[in-house]
Amino acid sequence: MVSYVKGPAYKTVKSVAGLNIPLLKSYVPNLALWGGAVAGGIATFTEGIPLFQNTFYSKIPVFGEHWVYNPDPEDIPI
Amino acid sequence: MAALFATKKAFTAPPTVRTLASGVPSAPLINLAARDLHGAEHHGHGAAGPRSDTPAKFSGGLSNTPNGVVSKRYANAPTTGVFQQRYMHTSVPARDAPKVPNFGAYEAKDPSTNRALSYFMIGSLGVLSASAAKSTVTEFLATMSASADVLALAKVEVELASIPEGKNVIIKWRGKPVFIRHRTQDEISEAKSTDWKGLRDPESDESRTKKPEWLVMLGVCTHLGCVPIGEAGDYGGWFCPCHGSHYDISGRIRKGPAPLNLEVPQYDFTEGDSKLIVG
Amino acid sequence: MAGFANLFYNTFVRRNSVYVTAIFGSAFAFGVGFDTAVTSVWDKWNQGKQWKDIRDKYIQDEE
Repeated sequence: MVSYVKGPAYKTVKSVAGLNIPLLKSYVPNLALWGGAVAGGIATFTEGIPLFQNTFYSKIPVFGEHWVYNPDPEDIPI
Repeated sequence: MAALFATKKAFTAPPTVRTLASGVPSAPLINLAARDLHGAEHHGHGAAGPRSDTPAKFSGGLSNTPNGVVSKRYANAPTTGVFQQRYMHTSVPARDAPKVPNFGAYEAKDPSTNRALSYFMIGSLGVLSASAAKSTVTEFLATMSASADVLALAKVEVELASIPEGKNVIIKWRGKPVFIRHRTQDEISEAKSTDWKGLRDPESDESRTKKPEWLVMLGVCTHLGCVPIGEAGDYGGWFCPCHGSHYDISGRIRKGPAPLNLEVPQYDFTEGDSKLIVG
Repeated sequence: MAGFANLFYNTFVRRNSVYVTAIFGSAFAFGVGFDTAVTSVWDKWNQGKQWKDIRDKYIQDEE
């Protein structure tokens, strides 16, 4: 005697506005890379700003000295 | 002429049976009640009647005219417009165009190299554009920074941790040098123990410093405005090379032509005494 | 050559996010490198004429 099931059991994934958790999870790696792109863009555009130079870029290990500007005060003409 | 051809040559009888798109045969106008014209030969079943497969009225028929009975048959609508004759033939069309040359020698050996080069050029243009945009933005922002007249009234911030004990630092403040000395304990006690009441410009060390280990003063000789030299002179303080004024470790005039002590500017310690702000 | 081209394509171009990241990273590095290069060329061209080159002569004499 074969026992039949009435049909496939369907489950619904909870979703909000067409977004559900597995779908969002599948976006994560790509979004992380886009975050890198945004960080690169911000870094590019803030490279010339002294606040960012002193706070971040002068602390880059090898070529951070590029942003260090520390002349003898006697050498600055006013 | 052409139209006459068409009417003369052939006509199409309206179909009585056709196949629907679904594959089902359809015979919509068959009159099943119609009887054969030759009823008698068919054992008398069925009366004679109009056959459904007789051509419809609009396609022609007999008509009585004064000239006699005329049969008209409208088989095809006359063609309109340009009539072109098409021939069937099996001959090979003549090649009147010259042979297309072989461009194989110019083709890329490997399309992936071309693809990579294209993307590389696109990316390089992106790099240059980003650099140009960044320069534009930076230069524009630089126009908003403080101008020289504002800077001339600015305060100067000094990181005190970078000055070791017993060292002088000269900074520029409003176009003038400012001496900052991190004094040792010996120097402090020496400065305090001096009998300042008998000096040319009597000032106590306490009134000249906010914190005894930090001596801050303008590095301009009060005589004629030279810049004294640090850690020199007879009193272990500053010595002005122009006319030989000697200042002690608190910046007070002790010997020479200068009339007053080295001037102490407005200054303050901030951020847990780790920074000095002059101005 | 084709191998290098495919390596470049597969590493940088295949995902647009990686491509854009590489472009901005290169722009950052290019900005620094260009600045350094131009400064060194300028210094070489004007060697011996700038204050930082002749500073020693004057500052030491005073002290």
